[in-house]
This record gives sequence, C-alpha cells and structure tokens, in this order.
Amino acid sequence: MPFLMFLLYTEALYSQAFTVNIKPMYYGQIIQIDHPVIDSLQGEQVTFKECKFYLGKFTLHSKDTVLHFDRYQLIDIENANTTALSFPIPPSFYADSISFLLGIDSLTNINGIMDGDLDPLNGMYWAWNSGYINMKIEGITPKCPGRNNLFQFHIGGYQAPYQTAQKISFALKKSQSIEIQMNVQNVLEKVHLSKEYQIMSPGKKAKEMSESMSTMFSILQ
Amino acid sequence: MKHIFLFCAFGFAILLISFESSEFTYPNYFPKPVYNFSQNPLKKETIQLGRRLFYDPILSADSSISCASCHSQYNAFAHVDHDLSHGIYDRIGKRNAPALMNLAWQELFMWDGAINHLDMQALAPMTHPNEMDNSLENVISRLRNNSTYRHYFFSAFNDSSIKTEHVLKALSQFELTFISANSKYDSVKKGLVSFTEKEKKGYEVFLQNCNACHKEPLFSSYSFSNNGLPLDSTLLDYGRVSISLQSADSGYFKIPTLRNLRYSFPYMHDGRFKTLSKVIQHYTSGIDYSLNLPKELKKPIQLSSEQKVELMSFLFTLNDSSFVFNKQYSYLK
Repeated sequence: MPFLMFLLYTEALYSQAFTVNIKPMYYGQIIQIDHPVIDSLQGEQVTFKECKFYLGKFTLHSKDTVLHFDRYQLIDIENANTTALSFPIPPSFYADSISFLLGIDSLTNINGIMDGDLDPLNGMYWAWNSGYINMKIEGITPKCPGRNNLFQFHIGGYQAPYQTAQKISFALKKSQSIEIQMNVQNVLEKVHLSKEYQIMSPGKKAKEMSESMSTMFSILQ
Repeated sequence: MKHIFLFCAFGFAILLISFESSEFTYPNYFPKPVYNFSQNPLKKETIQLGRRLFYDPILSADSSISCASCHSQYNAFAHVDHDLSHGIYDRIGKRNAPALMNLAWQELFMWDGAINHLDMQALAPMTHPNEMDNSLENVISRLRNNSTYRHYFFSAFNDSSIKTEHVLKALSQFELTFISANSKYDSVKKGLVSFTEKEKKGYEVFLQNCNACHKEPLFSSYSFSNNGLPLDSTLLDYGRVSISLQSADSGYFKIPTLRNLRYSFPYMHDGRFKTLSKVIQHYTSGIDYSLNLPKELKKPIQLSSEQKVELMSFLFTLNDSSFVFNKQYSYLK
C-alpha cells in the first residue's frame, strides 16, 4: 500500500505512457458517425448517429506494481481526441493485465455535481432521475420500426438490482500500448432491432444490455 | 453583575447550537447533516450568488419563472394555494411543490426520491417541460453572456468561466441556509418557554401516533412511505416505485416535514387537502387499508375530537415565522 501511494503521488512526473486506442467496430468495419456500415450476416446497412460512453478506473498490473487511475473519460467517437487514452507509467513498466469500468460506479453516481468529463453538460446525465448514462448508441437501420428507423439505447442505472457499470479485464503480454476494439454487433445482435429499439431508462432491459455490452471488447496488442 | 449575566447567556447560547460554518448553525438537538460540506464549503459570496440564481427567471426557457415562482419564501418555499404546481406557459405538473427547509439533512429529493443529491436537484426543474422547459446548455450560455454574472461567479469561485458545477453548487449553498429551527417547539427544546397544557397533550398525541414517520426534531425521517391515500385516477401516480423499480415501493412518497404547515398548504404529494383538519381526518378515517401500508399505519389511528384539537395546537408550535420572514432569504434587489 505505501508503495502504491507513492506511485499515485509521482504519477505526474512520469514521461512514459501506457496508451490505449479505442476502436468501435461493426462486423470488422470501423464505426464512423453518419457513415453506413454493413451487417455482414444479413447484408443490412446501419448508420450510427451517436456512440458515446464512459470508461474509467483503469488499473494496470505488472508483476510487482499496480497503477490505478481513478478518473473517468468520456469517449465520443465523433471526437478523435477522446478515443486515444494515455496513462503515465514509471520507466520500464510493462502491463501484464488491465481492467477498467464501462460506465460510472454507484458511489460516483451519488457524489453530487462534478466537472470535466462528468459535467451533465456533456448530455450523459439524466436530470429527472439522477444518474449517469454509461453508454449511448444511436443509429438508423431499415429493419428498425422506430420513427425514421432510429434505434436509441441510453444505458445507465446504478441502483441495485439494476446496476449497469461493467468491469472489463484482460490479460496482456507485457504491453505498453494496446488497442481496444468494441464489437458493437455483439450488442445489436442480442437485442433484435426489429423488436427492441429504444431503451432510455434504468431497469431490467438496461441491465441486460449492459451485460451484452461487457462482451463486446477485445484487445489487440 | 450585568456582565456576568451576559457572559453566561452567551456561553449558554454557544452550548445550544452546532456549527458547520458561521453561515450554517443548527440546534444541538438536531442530528448531524448528511450534506458533505467539504465538497462545497459555504462562503458568503457563493450563498449570495445562489440567492440571485434562485430568484432569476433567466433559468427558464422564456425567462418568465424562477425557482421562487413555485418555492416562495412566505409559503416556507412551497407553492401558494396550488395543489399541483404550474410552471412555464401555464403547464401543470403532477405533484405539489414541496416546502424547502432543513435540506442539509436530506439525502434524496422530490416526492419520489428521484434526485440523489442536493447539488443535482436544480437540473430537474430547469429541464422539465412542465417546469422551466430549458436546457442546461442554454442556461449556461445565457449566464456566460451576462457580464454581471461573470463577476458574481468570480467572487464566489475565483473563476468567471461559469461551469455547471458552480451554478449548481451556488444554488445548493443558498438552499442549505434554509434552516428552520426557531419555532415555539424549538424554544421549548431550548428551555426558553414552555408548552401550554393543550400543546403538551398534543405533543403526547403526536409522539404516540405521528413521530414514527414524522420524527422530531426535523419532523420527518425523510424516508418513503405509503400513507393510505386512495389513488387519484386522473394522475395514476405510484410515487417511489417508478424510480426504485421495487414493487414494495408502490404508492410510496417521501415523508414531508411537519414544520411550517401553517405556510405550506395545500398538503400531500398532490396537494389534495387544503386544511390541516382534512389531513388529520384522513389519518383517522380516510386511510385505504387495502393499500401497501407500513406497519405504523396498519392499526387504525383513533383520536377523540379533543385529541385532534390538541394535536393541532401542538402542530402550530412547529410554525417558524422567523424562517418565512427572514430577510436573508428574500429577493436580492
């Protein structure tokens, strides 16, 4: 523990960084807002209109060191500045494993007003039923019966039994740089867009979707 | 001799109050506040900024209504004479605007507890279509375009950039100062005066029948309960269950304080009772026993007409005129 405290304190002094690149994908194609991609199973076109989510509480493990980064970052794939994350590391640190949260933990949800990426001005906060939206995915596809064929998933909720923040962990091969792919098809396949195309409040459906979101990550290193 | 007396009186007064800061004092028989002041330390300039914002219609979409429109000081910050509160464009909401006081002791806000922190509370009325119908972006940009506000934010936070965090923290600071602890009940607690015989009997009736939920000295446990009100079929409001998604919370609403009832009528989450005697009548003969009642209400409350009068006279001792007329809370000219 004293060692860990020391690391947190000196974090800012490190000149080296562990880098994480976030890449949302749809059947192997990189998702870009307003650029249609194709469902390679059924050949249907999907145009994503929004893809925003919180990642945070990154922890990097090496054999003898644990680095914990408490902050949350809002990733908006429309803004390339947000998809490349960088974490200061001590010299010759190589991570054996990484873990992080998709979404905001319950304690942070009841902590009151915060600034920066957690500012409600970012549109990722429910004013009328306090709590962060962990992930927004919106898009258009012909089979979606919603208005203008729009599907909208705003997934959040921090109260038991419907907590939606998901912890993601991966073993790494002594890395200093990784790419995290998010295979959004895992989520959309599971939900059947022809039936379910709007989830925008906490509850059972949001929790189920958050569970399928936890399966969409894979790592390239 | 006179000096010794003054010194003793001062010492006695010190013993009776607790401090969070010089802007926030409360009687020593109050519990510890739940609000985390270390994240938002009170400061005179910030409280005054919160006061400006509270009274400023700039927060509503067409700059027509302010927080004070539905939370007027003379009504203990409730909405005068409206069962359901109306907001912008005469739109009517589905609940009665609650009185605001002793907010530092409350964890959840709104009748259904939808808001989990005082700092987040103001976002709800600002953006609700039936209240201020505004967007947070619009509120922030209007304030940023106002040089007077930039000046006030700088005095409050040493930062004139006007962030959401500072807007909400300033509103919290002003509202945190709404401490009502100067009723006759409080004077009795402080040993300064005594109850009349009637009030004393009423206090006994209160302790036996009401205190479990309307727990003294705040006169609410600030938890949620079902008080046996038959469902209003025009509103179909089931309260807390819509937030907690737990069926056990069906018909549960936040237990309101009994302080300042004289000013905060009408009563109940939908303002269905205009008078206190109607409220007492509800508890003695109006409860719907088929509802999901807490154990305290399962056994009927039986009060003689004398006891009802006594209870009312005790409840009157909870009115705090110094709170509703306190100049520190009024519109800042």
